[in-house]
Amino acid sequence: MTALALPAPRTAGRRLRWSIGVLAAPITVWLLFFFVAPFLVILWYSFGRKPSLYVTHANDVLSLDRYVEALNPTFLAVFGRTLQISLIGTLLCLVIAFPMAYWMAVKLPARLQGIALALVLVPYWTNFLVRTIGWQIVLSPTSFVADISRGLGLGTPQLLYTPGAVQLGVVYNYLPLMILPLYVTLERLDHRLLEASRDLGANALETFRRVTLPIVMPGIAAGLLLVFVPLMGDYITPSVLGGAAGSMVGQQVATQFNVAQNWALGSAMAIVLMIAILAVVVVFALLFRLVKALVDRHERVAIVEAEA
Amino acid sequence: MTALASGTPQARKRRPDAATVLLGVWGVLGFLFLFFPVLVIVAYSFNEGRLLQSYQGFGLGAYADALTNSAITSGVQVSIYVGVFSALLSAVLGSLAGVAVARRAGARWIGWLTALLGLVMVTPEIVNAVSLLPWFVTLGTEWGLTPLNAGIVRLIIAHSLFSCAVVTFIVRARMAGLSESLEEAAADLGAPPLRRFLDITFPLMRPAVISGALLSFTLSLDNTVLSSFVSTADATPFPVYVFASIRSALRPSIAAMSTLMLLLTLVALALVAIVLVTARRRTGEGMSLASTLAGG
Amino acid sequence: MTDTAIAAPPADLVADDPGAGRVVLAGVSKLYAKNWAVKSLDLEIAAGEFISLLGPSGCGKTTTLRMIGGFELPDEGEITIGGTAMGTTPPYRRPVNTVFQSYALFPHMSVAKNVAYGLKYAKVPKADIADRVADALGMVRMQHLASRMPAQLSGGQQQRIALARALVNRPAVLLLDEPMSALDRKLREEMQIELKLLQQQLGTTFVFVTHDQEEAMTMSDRIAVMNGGRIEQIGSPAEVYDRPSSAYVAGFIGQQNFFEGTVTGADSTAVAVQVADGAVHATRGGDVAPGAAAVVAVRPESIAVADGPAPDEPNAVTATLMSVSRLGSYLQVVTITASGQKVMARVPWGVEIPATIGATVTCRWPADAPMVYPA
Repeated sequence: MTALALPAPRTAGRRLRWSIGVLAAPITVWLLFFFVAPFLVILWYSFGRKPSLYVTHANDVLSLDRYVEALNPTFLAVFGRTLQISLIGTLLCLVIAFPMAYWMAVKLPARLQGIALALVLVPYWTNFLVRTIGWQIVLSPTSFVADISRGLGLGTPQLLYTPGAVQLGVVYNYLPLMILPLYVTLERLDHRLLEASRDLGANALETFRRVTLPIVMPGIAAGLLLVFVPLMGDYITPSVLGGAAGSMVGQQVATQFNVAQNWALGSAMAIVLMIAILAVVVVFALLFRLVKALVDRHERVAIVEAEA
Repeated sequence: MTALASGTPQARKRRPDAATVLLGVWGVLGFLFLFFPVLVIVAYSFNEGRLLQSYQGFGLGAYADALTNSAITSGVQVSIYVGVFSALLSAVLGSLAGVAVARRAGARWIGWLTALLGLVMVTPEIVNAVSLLPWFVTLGTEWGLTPLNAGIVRLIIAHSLFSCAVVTFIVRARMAGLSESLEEAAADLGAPPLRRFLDITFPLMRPAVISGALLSFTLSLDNTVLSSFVSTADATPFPVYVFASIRSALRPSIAAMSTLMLLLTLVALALVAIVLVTARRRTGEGMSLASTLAGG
Repeated sequence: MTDTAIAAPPADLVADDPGAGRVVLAGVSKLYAKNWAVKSLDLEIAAGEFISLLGPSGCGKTTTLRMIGGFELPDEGEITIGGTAMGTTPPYRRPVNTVFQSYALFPHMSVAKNVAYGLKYAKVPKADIADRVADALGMVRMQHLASRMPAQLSGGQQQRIALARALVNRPAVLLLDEPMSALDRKLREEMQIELKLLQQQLGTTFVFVTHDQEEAMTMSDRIAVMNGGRIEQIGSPAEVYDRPSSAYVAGFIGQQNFFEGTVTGADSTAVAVQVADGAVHATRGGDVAPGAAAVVAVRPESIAVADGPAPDEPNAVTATLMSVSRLGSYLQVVTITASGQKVMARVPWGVEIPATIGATVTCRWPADAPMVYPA
């Protein structure tokens, strides 16, 4: 027997594993064909141009001109507003959602938690657009809110079609996406850890900072991601509540495809949006790591090595 | 002995501290915030006025309008039709992939697939929508794949993309919680591979498949952005009709139909809950809806 | 108590073909991620034998069991069951059944359906299935739980259902993968005895994987002590206990006092070793040469404790008495020598310990007690 030569494994087990892997083939093909390929197509279009009024795109001349065109002052202004609304909206979602999720997961008795969760889900599964229209009704000059304002002698408030209305709308629309991951991580939080921390002499605030927060960090990160990404690309909320003053990048992209029929420019804008989202996510991920590393260093416990 | 008599044990229940009370108030306010516009829509569905935004008195006229307006009813029909088929498609694709990803197969490409599924879930819908539109046009007109010129087909495909990723993660979570030794035990007891799948694997993953399919259905009903790009004039789902109405005029009939759709969604959600609870009761272990939705 | 007892097996479960339960592993090897989980393993298991594969986790015992069951295929070598080479035969065509570590009861089937599962594929006539299931459940005294779901059962009950589910198929060989590890100590000890009795009555070959040496000692006809994918020693419980073939086996089975030292003399009948606290003369020769480093193993029950310092003679060391504790029917005495070596003794209950804690004592053992191994 040659001890060193590794034999070719003749495992039926391996064959079985391969045959299980084949089950993933349909979805892979499906996504490559209907998700990856279309994306590559608009990536290709973004290097082309709109040759004439009645043609949406052409790739006879390849250039980065559409990106230069996309980054015009109007677009950049809208882009800046989008980024501002998204960042503020994501943070507001976190600030509102964290105490809610904490209350649901830690303070509510177990049998009420399921009901609370359902209550979060019901509005979430109500049509996104219809919920937003609900806010449009509330904010419109003919609504009961405006009636109350007039009744108090404050005049008719201009609420609808402002950036503020969009800000309210997005916080509302994406709040459940922040509550859910926070709730899930907080619910898994082992209460004995909190008791252990209190037992070891930490007060409530220290326990929260040094035990709860680090454990919940993955949930917070998931929530930030789940809210920020779709928020950046939102197209419905600003269309319903924003008007001209509160438009966002998603509408700019849509306009190029729907109205201007300039697929080359629209594609470039979509790519810019994707890159911007990825960039923000990466920057935040790095910041997260940096902060964590600094905190770890600050709280490092030196263990003097015992003599051997 | 006298020392012990100084207080009945029941009287020593600790009163909730200020922080707990504040959290409770915050939580209740949060729920009111979440429900506020939904309740507004339901209330305004009884608006007898011509325009949705201005309330002109109570009545059921909007419901009568909604059920007789052919644009609305056909929109709802399209929505439900697309919802059912994209849910079925997602359930099949996602379940197969979920089993493969959970049983990992050790292969590197499974890792790439998982990354791709994650990418599908975080890509903004608008980017997805604008890339699908030219793709469908290219395939339908230039490649001669004429079925892709039908709005219904486009909608089903478009809605299936996000949903099949969701189903994959739900099924994966379920499968990961099931020990592989169950399948080995079935093999040990004489069951050949196909029987093993039918006897053991499928019954155990069924709750995940059903809840995944129902979630896909509600996601499809909800979808506006993708739909407004890929739908055609002969197949306009309800949300696209509503979205178009925003630019002209919103009628109370839209709120009425939305309320009916909300009821439909609630029924679907209740079914998901029942499926999950039953599964937990029958097998003693289960998965929470929340962790399902959070992809974990 | 009825819950924990196992009844005499029904006649139809007793092994009828004596040759069917013979298992032979010839040169079996298994690679995991370029490491040998099992390396050139040779093992012959007689029909009707109760054999334990004993070792720490990662020693290859579970991999060996899974290869017999067909869940893994060996990369080299051949496994023969009842005279038939198994080759790549899948688990569902092998005459073996398994009791899994976590029992692997199907959570969506009742107890009765779990037990009946294998009979369906063994093509047992429908009319007989109910009888066989009832018999098997009766054997583990679980008839009254037939309609329960597995989640409603305790760990001990689940384990007995898993046993019934495997045995109802009349396997030639029953594989048990650490089936007791989830049970509490008392229940485990009861089950050990019952399992052994059941095996003797059935005459089925049992291959039992465990890391618990007491469990292996209690039940097995033979124990194979495994380490690093190989069998270190195989033999009856008495053989591996009294004559461990290596320091590894000596340390793994039962308790030992180990002394490190240098061989000062060796011939075929005796070995002399100088250790830190004195000299050891062993009449059982080890495979060592003078001048070589050696390890001396002395079992605690071979050591006697006496008052006062040791005289200058072999097989006696001076130590300080640290603690005396009563463990069941014996006293455990812990002492520490001048060199810092801990020496443990086990003395039958009733034997006087002629000293108080902190006193100087002599630990002494007979010359036939120490075993000497190369270091």
